Amino acid sequence: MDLDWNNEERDLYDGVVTFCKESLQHDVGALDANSEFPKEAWQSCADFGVLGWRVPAELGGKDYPASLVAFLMEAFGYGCEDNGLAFALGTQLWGVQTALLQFGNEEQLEKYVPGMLRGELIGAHAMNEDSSGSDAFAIETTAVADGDDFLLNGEKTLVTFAPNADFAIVFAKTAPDAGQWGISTFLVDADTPGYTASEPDEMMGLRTAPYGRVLLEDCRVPSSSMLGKTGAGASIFGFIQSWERSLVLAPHVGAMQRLLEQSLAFARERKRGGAPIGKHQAIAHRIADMKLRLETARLLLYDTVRKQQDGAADMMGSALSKIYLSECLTQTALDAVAIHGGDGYLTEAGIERNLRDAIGATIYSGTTDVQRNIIARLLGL
Amino acid sequence: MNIDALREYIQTEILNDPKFVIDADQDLLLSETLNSLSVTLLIAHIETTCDVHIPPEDVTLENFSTLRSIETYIGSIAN
Ligand SMILES: Cc1cc2nc3c(=O)[nH]c(=O)nc-3n(C[C@H](O)[C@H](O)[C@H](O)COP(=O)(O)OP(=O)(O)OC[C@H]3O[C@@H](n4cnc5c(N)ncnc54)[C@H](O)[C@@H]3O)c2cc1C
Repeated sequence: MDLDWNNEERDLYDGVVTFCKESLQHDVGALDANSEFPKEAWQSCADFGVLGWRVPAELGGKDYPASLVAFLMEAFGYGCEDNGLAFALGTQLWGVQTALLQFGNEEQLEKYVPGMLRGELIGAHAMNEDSSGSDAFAIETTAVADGDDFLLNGEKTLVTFAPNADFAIVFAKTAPDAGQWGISTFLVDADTPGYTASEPDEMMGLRTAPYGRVLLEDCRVPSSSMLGKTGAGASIFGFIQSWERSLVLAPHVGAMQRLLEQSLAFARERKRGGAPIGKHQAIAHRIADMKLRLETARLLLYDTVRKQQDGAADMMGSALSKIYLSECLTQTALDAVAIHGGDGYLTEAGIERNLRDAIGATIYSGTTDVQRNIIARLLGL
Repeated sequence: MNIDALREYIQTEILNDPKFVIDADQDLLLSETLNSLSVTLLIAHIETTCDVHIPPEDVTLENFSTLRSIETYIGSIAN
């Protein structure tokens, strides 16, 4: 596979790394400790144009191909130590914008996309419920037609940006007896009466992105807020997942590179028994494995992304990438902690945060177990 | 793509059971004969074989519940 980026693309990559290092100065450790969203950094990202990378030029965006956006998000993961911020941006690029750009009508695009680009509007992708999770289509939220409106009732859980989203893409059953074929999708503004966002729920990692619940109680939305067609919710969700699954993990490649470089520098510098610890085979092999995971994860990611952008829904590739990137970063972060010894375990040093941040990707967008089920099914088992 | 070709693909490639009986008007979705993964495979096959693009929002009960409705749908987008 040809991963040769041209000079212009490499300049863009370098520009993102420089932006992260120079303009994103927030204290990630402190925000992580308080589960606080870095609002100013978000605005800086919007001003830098991150939220417009995927958006067509007529809506004010750059219209970059998905592979280039992945490359730039890799740069973000490398340059920015705030993995929660990278994840939060990814949810907008792949979860929310994919839905809007693919299924939104002109009015819906105009209403939400320019505001997202400016950093004024944040969207949530609200599918998960206590009753569903891995069994995604077992949702119980209903949308009952009432004149020209729909009345939404139910509760969405574990939703990224639930506490501070301006709008949510809500999946609800318009025909409860039709299983997954009775699900429809709605764009619901957070200030709609009957829409209540919870306070942030505390998470293990990725703590600079907010998570929570959305309660819908007789939440009345006009039928014009439906995204796509009635009953197309499952297909819309599947389409979004096919993009989000692999692409939201693009910053993982950059994070692996960052952890490799940090570990390498530490292994060269730290002396024990009169020699740098990197001279001990146990440390050297850990670092060799970090390099191996980085390079193979990168190949798998871009192979999947390029097939996907060429129009073939690459279910196998998305599932393989989702498992591989999430598990590679988890192992690399664990190795980074081990290489740094006690320093790696100290919260202040910021290494352990990467391990906590890495675990989330083995769960969101379909757990690694569910991805293995998909691969097995595709192999005919 | 006609009903027979659709039936054969579903029997052999998706269900792995060439003798599985599927009538033209038999429900495939609510009965869960096809799950979401199977539907995605079927769509990819139709797109390749018929050189058409099926937008995800068209994948609904109305268009994909039976072999006959799928045949009608393919006819409508192929024109
Ligand atoms: C950081 C983070 C962000 C998230 N953001 C969002 C969001 O923005 N929007 C949203 O809608 N949701 C979001 N989620 C929710 C996420 O999609 C679910 O947590 C996920 O799908 C798993 O569902 P669950 O938590 O109910 O686990 P469960 O489905 O209860 O699974 C529990 C365990 O059982 C295993 N399991 C379940 N079923 C099977 C099976 N068939 N085969 C094998 N193993 C199985 C799972 O792998 C897991 O180990 C987020 C989650 C996290 C962690």
